[in-house]
Amino acid sequence: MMIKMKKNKIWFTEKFTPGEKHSHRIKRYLIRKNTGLQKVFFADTYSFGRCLILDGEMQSAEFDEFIYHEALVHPALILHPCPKRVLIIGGGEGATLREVLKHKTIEKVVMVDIDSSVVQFSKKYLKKWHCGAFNHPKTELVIADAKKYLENTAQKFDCIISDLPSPIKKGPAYLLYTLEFYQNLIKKLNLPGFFASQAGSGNLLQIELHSRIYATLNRVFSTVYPYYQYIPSFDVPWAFILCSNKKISNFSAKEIDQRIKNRIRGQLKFYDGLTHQGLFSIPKNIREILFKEKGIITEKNPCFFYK
Amino acid sequence: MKKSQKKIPLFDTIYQHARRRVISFHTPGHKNGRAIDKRLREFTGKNLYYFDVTVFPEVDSLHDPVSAIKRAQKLTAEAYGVKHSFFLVNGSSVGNEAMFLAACNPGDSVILSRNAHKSVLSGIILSGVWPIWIQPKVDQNLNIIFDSSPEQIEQALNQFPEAKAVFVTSPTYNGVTTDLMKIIEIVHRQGKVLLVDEAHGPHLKFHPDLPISAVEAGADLCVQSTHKILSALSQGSVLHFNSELIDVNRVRKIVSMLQTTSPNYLILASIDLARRQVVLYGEKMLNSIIKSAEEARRKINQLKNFSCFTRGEIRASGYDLDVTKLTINVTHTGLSGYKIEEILNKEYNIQVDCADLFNLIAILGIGSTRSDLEKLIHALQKIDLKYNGETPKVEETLQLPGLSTEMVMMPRDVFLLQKTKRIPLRKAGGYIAAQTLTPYPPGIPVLIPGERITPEIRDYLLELSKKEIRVSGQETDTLKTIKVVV
Repeated sequence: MMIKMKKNKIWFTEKFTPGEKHSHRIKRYLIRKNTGLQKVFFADTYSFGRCLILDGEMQSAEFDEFIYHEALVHPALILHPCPKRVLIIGGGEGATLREVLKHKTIEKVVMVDIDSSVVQFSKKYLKKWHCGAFNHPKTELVIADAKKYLENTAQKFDCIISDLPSPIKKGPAYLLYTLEFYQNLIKKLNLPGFFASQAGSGNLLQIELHSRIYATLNRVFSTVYPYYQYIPSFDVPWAFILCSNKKISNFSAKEIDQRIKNRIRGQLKFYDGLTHQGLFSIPKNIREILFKEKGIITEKNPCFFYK
Repeated sequence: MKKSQKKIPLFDTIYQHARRRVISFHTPGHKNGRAIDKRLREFTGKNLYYFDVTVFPEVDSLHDPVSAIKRAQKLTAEAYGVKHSFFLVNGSSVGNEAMFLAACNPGDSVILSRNAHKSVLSGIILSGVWPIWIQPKVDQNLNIIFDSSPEQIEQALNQFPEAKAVFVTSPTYNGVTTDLMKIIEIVHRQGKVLLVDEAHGPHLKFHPDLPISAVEAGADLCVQSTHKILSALSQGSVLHFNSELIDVNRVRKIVSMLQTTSPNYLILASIDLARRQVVLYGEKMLNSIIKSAEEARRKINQLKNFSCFTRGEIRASGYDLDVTKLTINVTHTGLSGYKIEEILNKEYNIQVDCADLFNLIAILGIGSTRSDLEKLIHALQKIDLKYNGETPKVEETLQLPGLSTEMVMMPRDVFLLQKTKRIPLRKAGGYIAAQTLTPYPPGIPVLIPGERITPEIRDYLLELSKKEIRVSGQETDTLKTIKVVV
């Protein structure tokens, strides 16, 4: 992970491609530890406030994490007729949990993260992210490999949300971006069941991972809708994919707003009916990339993100 | 990192003073080294003694710091990410005593593991607390003792919800750390205070491949022996305060009560220097030390009769390991650790930090070099060949008697009692112990002042007295008699 000091200034550099890097100046860092699963870095940056960086990849920043987490969670939960049981894969910061718990229909949320250190550091240093969500009576926190958890559980869920870091070599997440994983996952969904996942970078120079995830999900789910949102602290349009084992109805902005009003406790800052329309309006060139992609990700043929 | 971390206010102040060659009418009596014995002065050079000053305004006071020491302590607190840091000149021992006195009142209960350091028992006696003992777990394969796990602490807190504080030693002498993040969550959730003896871990925060430090986990009070690993002189330690539950002024007062009014300024300056060094260069220096340590570990594990447990093995038990500590298991050589330590010292000019029946502990510090380790490996290789299966393997294993203990009197009350007497061990059943008895192995007290001598414990000690096991705290040559409360 690239953290360098130059003339008393500490910079964290995120690699985008072999030819492009972005650097954030660090005010101070709170934790810098290798947990055995991943390299964990909690720091306060000048640009985006407090951040969590795993294996050199920006995961969330104080400044704009609401954009990422609302975009990840709400389309799936709003479009679902009545989500009661939700599974979150990853999401160590607790913010995905926070957003899910805003839905009044929720009866239970299970969150499965593999790295107890990240969860514990987040509980301590990211209070503004989880806002006490870890202690909510409807929350069940499980520290485990989500792949194994899903293989072994008899439970079924209305929505499953995948909030994992990008797949990298020797990283803890890469097997959870495979055909085999998705084939097993769909069995643990109720009917109708929704699967929403963060799906890689939508940046044209990095988009290969995303298009392959899309192609892989297309093999498993009958309905697959990608959507994108620019996240300032990532400095790229980030990709998400919403899948279902049933057809997803189209809702107007007004209908979405009505659902938000009925179902959500508190205020949302990013997502509403109009935002929803924008999210799913994909540019022509991206649609063409997705259409052309044939590469399926499997356990034997995994895909690694450049970091 | 702020630019200010480059500063060394205490060192600079004393250095500037030293250069002036001020005429001394203040203590100490050697007067800038003039009267230091010639042999010593020639060996060290005379400049050293100009640093040995006492308290006067130019060099600030440890007990009421307003200038250089205040700034140095502030920089240390910033470096470690805590609210306040107090420099200690009597090692972590005084830090441990201070933690008990600051966090607890007489009669409070504290949960802790039985394998705590001697100074911890001192702290218990001085502060008049009721210790609630957790029986440490032992790894029979690795021959080491673990400090309390989060599960053990949670269980103890459930059983004794009135406890005021939890005290943990992490890293242990072997460099094994416990899951402080989990423990902090459990302890703080119940409104209790976490005290950590992190004497062996002043460096942990400064490298990502080292375990999590107590300061990162947010311990209320934690003591570090800067001198053990970093470049401070012996006795140079720091007490870190980072609590919402304890009053910092009480900590300040206690620390002041326990420390000398004639602190050694060379020690204090060396803490300041060690802090700057670890902030600016620590990661780079620790990088090479960690690499060398891991390489040494690999080489030791290739030897026939020596082994050195790995971080992976420790992590499998739910703990973590500071790899810069090499616990070298010698049981297969047929010789005891004490014997190997002696051989290393006499034949190879190498001194390890400690030895017991089963293990040697070689501690790397920020000043360790790759070539030091190469010499150690070379020596072990030679010993490995020489003592190859000649003598039988050591038969003893590290076993903890499954003895339950019952503390019926506060250790302080026992200590203050005038009426104790020595009685024969075989008649001691039912009495209350007035001394600590710690057999080595395992190095865990079987009896602590205030505990009742049950028939089981008496029988166990009678067994021990027949063997040639070293028992510390005995006060007599044999284990025939024991001091009890009358």
